[in-house]
Amino acid sequence: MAIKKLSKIVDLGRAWWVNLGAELTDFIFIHTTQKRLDVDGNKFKSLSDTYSTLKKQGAFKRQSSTGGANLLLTGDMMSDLQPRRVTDNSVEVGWGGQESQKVVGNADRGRVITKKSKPIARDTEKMVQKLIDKQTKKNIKKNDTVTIIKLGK
Amino acid sequence: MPLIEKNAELFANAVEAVKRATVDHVYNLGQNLSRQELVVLVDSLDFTALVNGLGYERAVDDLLGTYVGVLGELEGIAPVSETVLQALANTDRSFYLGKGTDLANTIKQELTRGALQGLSRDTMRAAIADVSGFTAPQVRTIIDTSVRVFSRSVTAAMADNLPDTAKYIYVGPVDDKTRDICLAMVAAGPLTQAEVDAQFPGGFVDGGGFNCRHSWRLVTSQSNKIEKQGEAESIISKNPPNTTPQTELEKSLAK
Repeated sequence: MAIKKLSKIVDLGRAWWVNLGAELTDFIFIHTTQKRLDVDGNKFKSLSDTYSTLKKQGAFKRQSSTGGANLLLTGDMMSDLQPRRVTDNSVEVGWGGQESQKVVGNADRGRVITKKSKPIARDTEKMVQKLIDKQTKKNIKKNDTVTIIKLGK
Repeated sequence: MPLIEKNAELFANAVEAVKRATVDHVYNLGQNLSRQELVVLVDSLDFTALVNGLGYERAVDDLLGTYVGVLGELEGIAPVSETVLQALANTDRSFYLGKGTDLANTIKQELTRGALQGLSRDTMRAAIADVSGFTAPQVRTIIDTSVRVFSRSVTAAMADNLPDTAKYIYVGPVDDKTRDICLAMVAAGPLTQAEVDAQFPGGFVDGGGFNCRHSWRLVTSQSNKIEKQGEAESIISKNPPNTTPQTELEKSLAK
């Protein structure tokens, strides 16, 4: 068995990276808003009494969530999380200028969605690894060739 | 205070300052004139140029400069930055300048009435202050909408890297505030970009319009945990979208 081009095995392609960006986005969204966990896997600290009461009452403009510490109020911040840059061998996921300020604000208040030392949570990392493994195996299969050399007559 | 709030408030304050400056300018010009001469003076002035010259146009450019700057902070906008940012800026500039012309015409009308009645400068200032211009919440809505349109443009640009068969779902809140068009897009479930364009023209970038809280997301292995298709369908079945004719003429024809 010989492999035609070794580089092809790790060549995941731009479309794959776009898809990974979308998967990452959804994983972070679910991890943050549904599991209500920070990047270290800890539950978000509770909301202050005043804010919690106002949120439950639906007192805010454009409010879309009345839940507890799920980092959703209007939903603008978490729905702005999306792939921002994609190349043939990378994808960057994040927030736009205005919404990224909210992410920083939340981190300042102890609710950390991402940080430089640990951009994504452990379970999200595992998901990325699985997707890379899956695609790599596909690429190996695609590039497998069997060369038969007949000896003699 | 978040940047958008701050910019919106700065712009609203600038508009108030322009209103006061316009009244002062006219009263300074006509301080030795009779009421009737003042009316003629008001009529002869180009109020759009006056309002723009007294700071309205500069306030518009400052506002656009700051919030386009906010958009420009985005990483990885290279595929869309030049065209989309410029288009957004041009469209919004025209919108604001158009509103400036409306404001100028209203001020002119109020000043003509005030001149005829012989109102003092202070009374006139107070009267003009009530003239609707831009309130901070109105400006905030416009900026918010532009940012959201931009966000959807990024999704559209990313879509260029994918096969035409790639599907998207429309995600965001489904509640009593959700517009019919947004409910319909959520209820539509996974669609290709071409299907979105065919069923909801412009919806891929514009979403549901002003203040829309929704966005299109590529379908992933996790989409079933995020989508609210069932909820939207349930609301639509209980309250079918308003498809009644829009105009009185159409209503009477329908009868």
